Amino acid sequence: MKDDVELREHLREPHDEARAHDNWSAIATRRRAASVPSGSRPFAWLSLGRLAIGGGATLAIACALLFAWPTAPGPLRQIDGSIATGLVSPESFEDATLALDDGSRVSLDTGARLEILENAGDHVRFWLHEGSASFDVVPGGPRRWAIESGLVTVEVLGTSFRVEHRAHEVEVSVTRGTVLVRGPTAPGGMQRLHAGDRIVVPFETPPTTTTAAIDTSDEASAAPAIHEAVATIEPTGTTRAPSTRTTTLDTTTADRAIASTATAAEPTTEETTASTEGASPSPVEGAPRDRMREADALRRAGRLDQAVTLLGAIVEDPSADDRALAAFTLGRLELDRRQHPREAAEAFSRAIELGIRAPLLEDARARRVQALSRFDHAAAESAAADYDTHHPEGRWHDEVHAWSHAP
Amino acid sequence: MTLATRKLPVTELPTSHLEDDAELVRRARSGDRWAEEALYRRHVRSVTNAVTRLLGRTADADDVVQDTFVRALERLAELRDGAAFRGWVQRIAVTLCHHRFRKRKLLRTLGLDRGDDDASLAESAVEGTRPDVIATLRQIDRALEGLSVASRSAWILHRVEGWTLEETAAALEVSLATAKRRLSEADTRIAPFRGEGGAA
Repeated sequence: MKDDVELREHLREPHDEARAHDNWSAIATRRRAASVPSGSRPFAWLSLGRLAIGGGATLAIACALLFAWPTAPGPLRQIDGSIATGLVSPESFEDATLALDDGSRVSLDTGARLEILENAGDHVRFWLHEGSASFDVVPGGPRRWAIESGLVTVEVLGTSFRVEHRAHEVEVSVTRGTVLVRGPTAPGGMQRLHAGDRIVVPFETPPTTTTAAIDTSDEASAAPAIHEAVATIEPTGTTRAPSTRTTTLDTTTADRAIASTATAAEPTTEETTASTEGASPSPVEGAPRDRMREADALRRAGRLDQAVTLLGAIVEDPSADDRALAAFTLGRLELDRRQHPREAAEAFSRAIELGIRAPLLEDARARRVQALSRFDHAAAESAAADYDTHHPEGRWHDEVHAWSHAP
Repeated sequence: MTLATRKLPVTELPTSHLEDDAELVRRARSGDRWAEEALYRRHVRSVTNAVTRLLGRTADADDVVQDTFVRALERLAELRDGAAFRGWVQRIAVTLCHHRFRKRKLLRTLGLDRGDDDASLAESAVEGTRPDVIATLRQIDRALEGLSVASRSAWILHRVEGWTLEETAAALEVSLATAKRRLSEADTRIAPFRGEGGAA
């Protein structure tokens, strides 16, 4: 490799047309956004200040490290110095833009309602109730940004993107940087979007397949999709990896879900009602209600605590007609996902007590044995005898006896 | 779960081969969006390649490419000779790379640099490259890390990107003699890995 030409022949060229296209889209968007006179942009002086202090900043930081560890950054504040919190709408601001003291900006479109759920030094979390908003997050900041909208979560560090909450879907389009879009109905549960990409995530998952289009075109509304991802959702969620999401906002969504009224919905074959063998839901249980669907969506998104809270609320609601089904689902969740055998045994017992119908009744009796075998051998044997009495040639016969005789 | 991705062809916008940079700059200054994009299309390849090689990180490079053209297009009025657009935009790009190096150094000092060097020379080897060649590229990467930013930049721009010494010196905003000296420093460090005699 003595020759420069030979050296170059071994290297891939970094430039490609798709990359150039994406970068141009981002450049065009940034220039449109910057058409506001620079003098009126908040914190424009910061870049000059940075240049002015130059090497002094390094020295100052070194001194700070030596003598006192710098205090953690506080919550984001608005330009007037108030901490950004609560529910905001375009009318909350003169220019319909929430300008924050780190230089980040959130522009709200007409009709948008955005709630700042959490605001701390290391993270900030929004909930876009409805409408659309454009987020321009200053790169390099200390906070992880997350935007909840419907069942979709958009996670970012420094980037520029737009979220639109529509009646049945959420659209996310990225103009700069990279975002992660998580959600039970997102293809694969998560999609990484780069500058120029666009994704539309429906709230509802069709029983067998769902399709989401990722569009990298600049003219998103008119141009055809450049990437199209098709995800097939497995009939049961038993092998699906839970979301790696570890944030703690979830009580809000759960509260919202718990508060939702149980209105009739069309029948579904969602996993909520299926046993581990993929048994169909019992029609006697009635059509799954909104809360059951919400619980299922939470479970599939890996928000187990929320799902358990919601299912527990359904079980304790005397007016709910799907209490037995909720108890059974709760038992499975506690046993298979949360490793809580006591709670699982109690939930399966409750499902039986509430009159869960076949074929889930047999499943409930069998799974109760499995749960009890993990902490109360005598009770497991008793439950196994009960299973044998009711299902002498049951599908779970061998497993039940193995569990009840396990050391 | 299956996930299939289909890529549709990207339509390349026409780039005029009839207009020279001076004419495109003149039209862009008067608000012609097509001329702005034509300037971008004409020079983005050179800028993207150089910036990616210099930074060694694709994500950082994309940021710098965008910053470069945003800055260049917003400051077109400052460019006296439109025909010098290429050198001007290259100089902006290299300057922004050096800013990025300073920031990276500070973050590294604070233990906060979590970037992924996904575009180093070794990582950029074409498919099917022999393992010994990749090992050599990795040695060159390590040698480059030990150089000053100025010497490293001179070497990459000239040896890898094939910029002329004049272009390299202009982009680094140094004299031709200084550029040669920095290149020589880098060659001395890297020559052992390229075989006897060093670079051509």
